Amino acid sequence: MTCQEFEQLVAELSTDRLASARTRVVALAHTASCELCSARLIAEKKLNIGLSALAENSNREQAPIRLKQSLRAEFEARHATKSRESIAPGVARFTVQHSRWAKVRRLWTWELFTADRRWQAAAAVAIVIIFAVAVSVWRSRETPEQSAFLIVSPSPEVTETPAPSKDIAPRLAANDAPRVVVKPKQAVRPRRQSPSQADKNDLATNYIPLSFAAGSTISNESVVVRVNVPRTTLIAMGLPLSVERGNEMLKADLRVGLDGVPLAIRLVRQ
Amino acid sequence: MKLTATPSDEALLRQMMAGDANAFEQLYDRRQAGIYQYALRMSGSHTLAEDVVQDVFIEFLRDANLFDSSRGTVVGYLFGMARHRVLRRLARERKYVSLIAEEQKEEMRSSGVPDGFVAETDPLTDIERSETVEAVRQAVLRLPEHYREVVVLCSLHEMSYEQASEIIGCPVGTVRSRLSRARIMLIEKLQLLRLTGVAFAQSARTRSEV
Repeated sequence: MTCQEFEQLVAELSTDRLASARTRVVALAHTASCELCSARLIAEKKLNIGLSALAENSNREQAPIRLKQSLRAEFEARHATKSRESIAPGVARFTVQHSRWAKVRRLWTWELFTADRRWQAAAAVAIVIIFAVAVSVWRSRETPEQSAFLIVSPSPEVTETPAPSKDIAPRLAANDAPRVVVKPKQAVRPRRQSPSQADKNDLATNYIPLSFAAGSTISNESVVVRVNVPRTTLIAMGLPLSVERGNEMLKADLRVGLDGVPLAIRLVRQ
Repeated sequence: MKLTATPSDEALLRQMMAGDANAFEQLYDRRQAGIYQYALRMSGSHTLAEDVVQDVFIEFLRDANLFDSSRGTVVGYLFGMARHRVLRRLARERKYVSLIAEEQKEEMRSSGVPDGFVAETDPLTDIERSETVEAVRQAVLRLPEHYREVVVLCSLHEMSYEQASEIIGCPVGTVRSRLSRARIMLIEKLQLLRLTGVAFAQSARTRSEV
C-alpha cells in the first residue's frame, strides 16, 4: 500500500468504517513501516476521541419542554379545525379565526418570539414612535393658527337677540366689558348686510365688541362687512390672538354703525 | 411476558395525520433531540437550535402529507428540513455566529487554554478536559458549512454515509470525500499532527498530492 492509498483510507480506518478486513490489515501493516502514516493515524484517532467527547457532551441537549407543549397545542388546534370544517363551514370559519388569534398570541410569547421576530417587532415599534413624533410636530405647527379660534371662541361677549324683540338688547357677559347694543338681524336689511345662512358654519366666533365702542349704546342700524384684516390689526383692536405670523390675513365680519364707527367683529374660518 | 413493538416513524406519521395527538407527541419525543443537537452543533447557538426545531415541526404539522416514503425516511425528511433552515439562518446570521465564536476564542485565550489541544503530556488526559471539548467544538464551528455538516452528521450523529447523503442531497462519494477533507482540516486546526521535520515535509507533500 502506498501513502496516497493510505491517506484515502485513514479516516475510515480510524473509525472502523472500512468494509474490508483485509484492507484494514494491509493498512495497519503500512503504518508499521511508515512514520508519516503512523502519525497520521494517531492524529485521526485523537480527533475521534475529541469528536466523541464533543458528541457525548452535547448528547443530552434537547429542545425545551415548553416547545413540546406549544406544538401539541398547535397540533390540536389544526386538527380541531379540520374536523369542524367537515361539520359546519360557519364553525370552521370561527375555528380558523381562533387558530389565527392563537398564532398571534403565540407571537408574543418567547416560544415563537425569535431573534428575527424581535428585530421586526423593534422596527415596528420604532416606526410607530417616529410616526407619533411626526404627527405631534405637525400638530404643534398647526396650533398657532387654530389657537386664534380656540382662544376667541369660548368667550362670546355679544349675543344676538331674538328677532322679534326690539327692546331687548344683548348684554356683555362681564360687567366691566364694553357694552354694545346690536340691532336684531331682521332690522338690519339681512340680504345685504349679513353673510348667507350657509356661511354660518364658517363662523369661528360670535361678535366681539371693539374697545373704542365701549360704553356707547347704538340705536341706529348697522351693517356687516366681510373684510380681510391683518392679524396685527386685530391684536391692536384688543382681540386676544397670538402674535405669531402677525402679517397673516384673517377673514372677519365687521359690524359697522351707520355713523361709520366699527362696533364689533367676529372671525370667520379661512 | 408481553412485548409491545415500537411503532415506526411512518406508522406514527399515519396516526398523526389521522389526528392522533399522542402519535405526534411520540414522534416529536423520538426526533426532537437529534434535530436540536444537529442545529446546535452546526450553529453553536441554543436559540437558533430551538427556532429550528419549532419551525421544522410546525411545517411538519402543516405539510405532513407532502412526505413521500418512496423517496426517503421520516428522519431524513425531518433532518432535511432542519438542514435547510440551519443553512438559511447561518447565511443570515453569519456575522453573529462568527462574533460569538471569536468571543469564545478570546475567552479561551485569556484563560490560558491553547487554540488547539496539542498536549505537552498525555493527550488522552487533555482530551478529557472540558476545555478540549470546547476547542473541538470551536474547530468544528469554524469549518466551512458543507464540511461542517458532514462532520456533524457522520462523526457526531454517527450516521452512515448513505443517511448523510440522503439528508444533504448529494452522492455518497461526495460525503466520503468531504468528510475526509473536513477531518484533515480539523487535525490542522487542532494541531493534532505532531511530526518530525522530515515527516512534516513528507506529510505536506502527500497532502498536496492528494
